[in-house]
Amino acid sequence: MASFKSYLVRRIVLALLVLYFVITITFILSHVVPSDPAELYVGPKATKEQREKAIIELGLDKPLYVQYINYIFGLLKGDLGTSLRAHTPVLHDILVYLPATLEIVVIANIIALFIGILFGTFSALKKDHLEDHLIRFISVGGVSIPSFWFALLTQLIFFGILGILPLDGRLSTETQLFNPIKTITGFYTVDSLLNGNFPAFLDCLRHLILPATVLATYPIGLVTRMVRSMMVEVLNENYIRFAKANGFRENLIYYKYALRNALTPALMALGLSFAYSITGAFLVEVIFSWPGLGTYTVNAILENDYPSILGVTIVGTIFYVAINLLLDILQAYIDPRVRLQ
Amino acid sequence: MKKPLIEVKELNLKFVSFEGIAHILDNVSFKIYGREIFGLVGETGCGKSVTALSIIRLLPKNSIIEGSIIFDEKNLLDFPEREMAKIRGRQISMILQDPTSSLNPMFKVGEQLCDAIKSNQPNRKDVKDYALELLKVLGFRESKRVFNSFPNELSGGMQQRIAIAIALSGEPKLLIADEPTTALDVLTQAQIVALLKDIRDKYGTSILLITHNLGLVAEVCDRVGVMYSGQIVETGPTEEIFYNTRHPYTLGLLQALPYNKPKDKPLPVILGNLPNPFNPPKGCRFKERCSRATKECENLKPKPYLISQEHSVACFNPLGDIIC
Repeated sequence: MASFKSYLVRRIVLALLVLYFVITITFILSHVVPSDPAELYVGPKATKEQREKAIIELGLDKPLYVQYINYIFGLLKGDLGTSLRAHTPVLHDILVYLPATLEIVVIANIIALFIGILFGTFSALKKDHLEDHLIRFISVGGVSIPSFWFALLTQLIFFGILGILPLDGRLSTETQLFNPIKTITGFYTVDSLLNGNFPAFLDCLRHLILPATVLATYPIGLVTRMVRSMMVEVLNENYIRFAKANGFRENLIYYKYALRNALTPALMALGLSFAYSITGAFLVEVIFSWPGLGTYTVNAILENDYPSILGVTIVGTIFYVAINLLLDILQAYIDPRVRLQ
Repeated sequence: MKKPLIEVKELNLKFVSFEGIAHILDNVSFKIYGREIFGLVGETGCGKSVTALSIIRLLPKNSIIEGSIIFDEKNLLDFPEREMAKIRGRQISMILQDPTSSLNPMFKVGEQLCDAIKSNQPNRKDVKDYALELLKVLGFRESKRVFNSFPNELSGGMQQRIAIAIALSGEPKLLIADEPTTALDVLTQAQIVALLKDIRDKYGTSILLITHNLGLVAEVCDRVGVMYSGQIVETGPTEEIFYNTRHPYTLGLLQALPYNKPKDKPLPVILGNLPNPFNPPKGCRFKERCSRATKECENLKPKPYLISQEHSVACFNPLGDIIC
């Protein structure tokens, strides 16, 4: 186990290095792009004095390397800088937008995990039968359908034609007026339950269904295909034949002995798709008017609000790095061969 | 007359593939009695393993099988898959050639053994104790430590012994051992062989031992079947096969053994290769490699016939009485 500890320490150090380089590169890039942060900060109708005051306030009069050092020291104190557009601390903004995104992304990926494993296993067990062809068709569809198109389609069907689900947003106006949620964690589903506000919880869920489903289509297709191909491979292994020949129960063979061996690559793929969706879900967020991190990122980029861009990049990188680390630990937990190396 | 535990009768097996139909087994018949170790010998590719897979019904889907396998007065080939699953492990079990790939690398061997016991003896309550006891029977002194090991922490011989423990978990009447020692070193081979003999003596389990090692056959088998190109060419008690050899192929195998041979001369070999299963020759399948082949062998298929009460041979020109 000592070797596992040192492996873990090595991985964490490496992760911090990756984070540092990403911050540095993003910092340089956002300062190379031609724009005037001070003007953005004070607005178009500001006087010259106001503008000069802003330059000093933002530290723009100092050389770039001093700005960079100041920024890094700020980070160490948990200060991500001030947004040029909103004049609010970037950390605060991100903490407002992040839970909204996490809420749909987490639910979407949990759906994808279960449906993907179910479909993939079933498909492999029914290889070359009708069920298999059907599931393969669905999974190819899942990875290739453009999410914005699918989002519009679900809105058309479930809001426009059937009228059973809300069009967009996180809560309906009625709930906001009559059953407002007191924010604790930022996750509305969790907060409404903590408040004991059951009608709001149901309303939350109704709003979550469509965006979460749309976000889940890609990882469902991905996980299904991964699990299927791995299962097909594993079912041909000697140890499966040995288990069959010696009377192991069928359920044990398929759902324990084969699936466990087939799961790791699917988890890897799911982890990456999860990390990607944290900042990459903006198409879905825009269509569903979902106040998430994706929308925030796009706005920050369009207006060259570099403290916000840097902040989002840092959060995204932290998610990527943390999830990769988590997956490696999980893999070591699942597969003893990795642990012993 | 003793009743056999299992009787394989006129087994014919074909594989259908894109290249055509491969004729794998041709009229294979043999019996195994209770408490008996029956050896099935022959060179690689002659159909030994496939015969074993036919008995346990784990053939690939593209196979066509005819004939009958009578076990406990019932024909196993008539069993639906659901019934057959109950036979596997509880009546007939099997260990494979490569012990390092027989066990699942993701689970502790103890867990795998317990799963086998739970599957094959669902009413048993003392699963873990029974597992530890099985490990002791198979010669593990530190059975608790082994119980908590992963397969890749154990040697090949240990893995094969675990595999045997799993195969014994349902107290089967027949254990099929498909080249159980081929992947192991010589000392471990001897250990596994001694173990198989012990198991037969202790539990009365019949064993179908598939091998190409005639030394092993001489050591443990009560009776032997010699296979060539999907046919059984000679079968009988081990002593008869070794000292009263009748089939030229069996003789060729025996002469190729390195024991008691002058060291300065090369070993005699059987020239040529196995015939192509997609297009097996007419007549005797061994004729092209046989020094005794005559016109008769060219077109007619030799049928097995008894030369003594238990010794049968399929050859038109069998060897005489005094050989070796």
